[in-house]
Amino acid sequence: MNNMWLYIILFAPLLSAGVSFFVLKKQAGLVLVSFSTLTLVASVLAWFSFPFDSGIEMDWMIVGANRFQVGLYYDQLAGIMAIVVAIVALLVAIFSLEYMKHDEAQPRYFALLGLFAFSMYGIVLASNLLLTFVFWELVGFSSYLLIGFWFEKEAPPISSFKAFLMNKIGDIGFLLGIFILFAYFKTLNIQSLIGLDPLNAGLPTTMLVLMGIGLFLAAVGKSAQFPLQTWLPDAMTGPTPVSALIHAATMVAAGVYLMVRVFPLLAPEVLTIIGVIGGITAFMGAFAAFAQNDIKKILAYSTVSQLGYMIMAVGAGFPIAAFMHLTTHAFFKAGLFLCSGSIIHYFHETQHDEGLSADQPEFDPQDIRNMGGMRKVLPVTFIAFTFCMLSLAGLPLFSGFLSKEMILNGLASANHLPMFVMVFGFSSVFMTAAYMARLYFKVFFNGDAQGKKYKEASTVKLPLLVLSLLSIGFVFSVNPLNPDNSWLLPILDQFSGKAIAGHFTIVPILSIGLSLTGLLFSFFYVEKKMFVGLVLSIKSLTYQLSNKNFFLDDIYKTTIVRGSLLLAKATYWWDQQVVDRIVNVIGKTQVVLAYLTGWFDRNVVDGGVKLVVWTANFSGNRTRQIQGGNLQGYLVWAVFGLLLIFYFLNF
Amino acid sequence: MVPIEHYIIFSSLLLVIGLVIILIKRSVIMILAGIELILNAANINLIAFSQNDPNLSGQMMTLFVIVVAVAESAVALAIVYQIFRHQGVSDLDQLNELKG
Repeated sequence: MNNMWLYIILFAPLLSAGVSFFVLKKQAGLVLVSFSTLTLVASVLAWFSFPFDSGIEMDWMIVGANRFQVGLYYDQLAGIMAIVVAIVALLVAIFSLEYMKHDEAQPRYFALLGLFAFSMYGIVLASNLLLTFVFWELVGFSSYLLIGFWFEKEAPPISSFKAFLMNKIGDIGFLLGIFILFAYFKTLNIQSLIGLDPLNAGLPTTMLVLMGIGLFLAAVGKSAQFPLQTWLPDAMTGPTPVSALIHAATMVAAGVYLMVRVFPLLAPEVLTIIGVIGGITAFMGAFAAFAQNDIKKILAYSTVSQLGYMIMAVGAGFPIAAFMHLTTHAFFKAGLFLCSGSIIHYFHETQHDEGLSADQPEFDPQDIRNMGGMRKVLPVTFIAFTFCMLSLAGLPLFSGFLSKEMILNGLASANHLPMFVMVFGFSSVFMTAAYMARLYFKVFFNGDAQGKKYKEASTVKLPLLVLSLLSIGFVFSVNPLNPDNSWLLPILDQFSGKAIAGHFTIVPILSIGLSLTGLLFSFFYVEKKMFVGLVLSIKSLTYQLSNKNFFLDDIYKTTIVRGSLLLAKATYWWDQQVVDRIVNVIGKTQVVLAYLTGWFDRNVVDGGVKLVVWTANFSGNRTRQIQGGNLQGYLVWAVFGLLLIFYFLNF
Repeated sequence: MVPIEHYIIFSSLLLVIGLVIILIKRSVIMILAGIELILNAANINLIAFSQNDPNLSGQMMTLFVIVVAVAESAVALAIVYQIFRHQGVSDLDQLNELKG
């Protein structure tokens, strides 16, 4: 009974998937909502009643001398993460009720959400890397299914395939890390591994670094870090609530979560790599978000950028800061995505009602150029978006400020990272504010309202309001200006000693200044049409660079994709021209040989056999007369023999 | 006194005649007659050679042979008679019931 809460958290979503897909197909959404509520209740109750640093261990299989265990482990980190996932999953499920109400395949949708939640809780609660890997793959798989949910359209299957492949590259690293750890320590239990202190256990440095890079590569794939981040913007072809749940709040956070979990296993060299990659990703993501016109793509690149922040914080040596940002980001980014979902839904609905699609067949409900003045149309969405956006921009009093302060302070105090990482970190603050303000003003202001005031459904309003509330700094800290006061920190301090870097007075001033500058810049550009000349001159240089995300996709297309195509062609040619010919020659030789042996068989071997048969037949025919049953014949022979004997005896 | 060569020539002739009868006649009865001739050829030889034998054991032997030949002929004729009664034939060629 003691472990009941863990089992409920883990298996309730799976049960809901089964029930909504096989049993209550009509009420699939309500099934998921009720089970998600159950999970949320269970994870909150577990927080208060379940003893920390305990769990379940059981043998999975014993192969020779190797013992593979699976198990669940509950500590503060898992507890908070489970609650975060549960809250976001519940809100997304409620939101989906409205968003997906016209969809035919609702049972599949809600079942997949349940399956996804199951795999996510698996990662959160798994006590060892083997089980983590299993759920890691399950998360990737359910994400694949959800990105390609509308598989009858053109883009989603390709995007889902891409996401799957990119994740697989990371998974290879994960496996590599697991192999190395198991080879040296014979256990995959994370706590035992940390207890063994691999950094000082006399492991060869190469292996240590390789192991760290392998584990980090897993996070690179799942958390969309450079150079594998291209799948995340494409993953936006999935339903918007899915983007909110998976590609903003939870699945992409799994990589960061893993990094935080295994942080004590990472060598200093690996941390430097992690920090650099995180910095590059944060900068590239923020930069690429500028020139996007698809509202979800902007948010996707923003997610990439924020994940870069988290990874940067891990690299700087402050996993708690990363985890803090993960938590705050999960709420405000889910909020932003659900807001965009609300806007898109509004366009779908009005198109549906007014038949706009007939007049404008090319109308794209996700293109921000088609939007404007939405603050009057969707007031609740407007308020929620404002809160979440300010949180993302990192303004004081909002949750994003707290976590971003921790990260930036950490970066400022990390001496092992190159200087440019910090520069990237701070410049991304400016860019984040700027592109979010661009999105914000273009969508919600910028001209007159397009339509009448639209009444958002309460299932839309509730999640938006809850998430915007959770974006406020007071939720996480009594004093929203100082992350030191956060109630999360003393809890997480038990997990890692050095949660907080020193304080630099310059850091908050600089980040607030940069953030405000970014907001104002976009405000003046979009609303007051200032800086047009400046923007145009910059735009001519960098627009393509930003719009295409540094041409990363094109680079992959020209190098890897074309390379593999060329390789395929080359191997095809080799196959056709060389292998096939050799096979043909061998085949023909065999036919000739077969004819030869056939002739030999027919004429020589068969001839011999026939000769023997003929001889036997002939002699048999000749001698059968002797024993014909004719008594007198026998006598004749006997007399003849007798005469012969006499004849020979006499001479 | 008749020289011994005459006996031998006579008995040889008798033997050959008996043999030829056995070989060329079909009837079982004739073959039995041929066998009698061969036996008698042997008897003549025994008697002829016993002229030089004071014990006359050759003649004794001859008497035995005659007795045995009679018995043998009686049994053989009885068998032939039975076969003839069952199958209606007395030719050696047609007595092929036991042939595989």
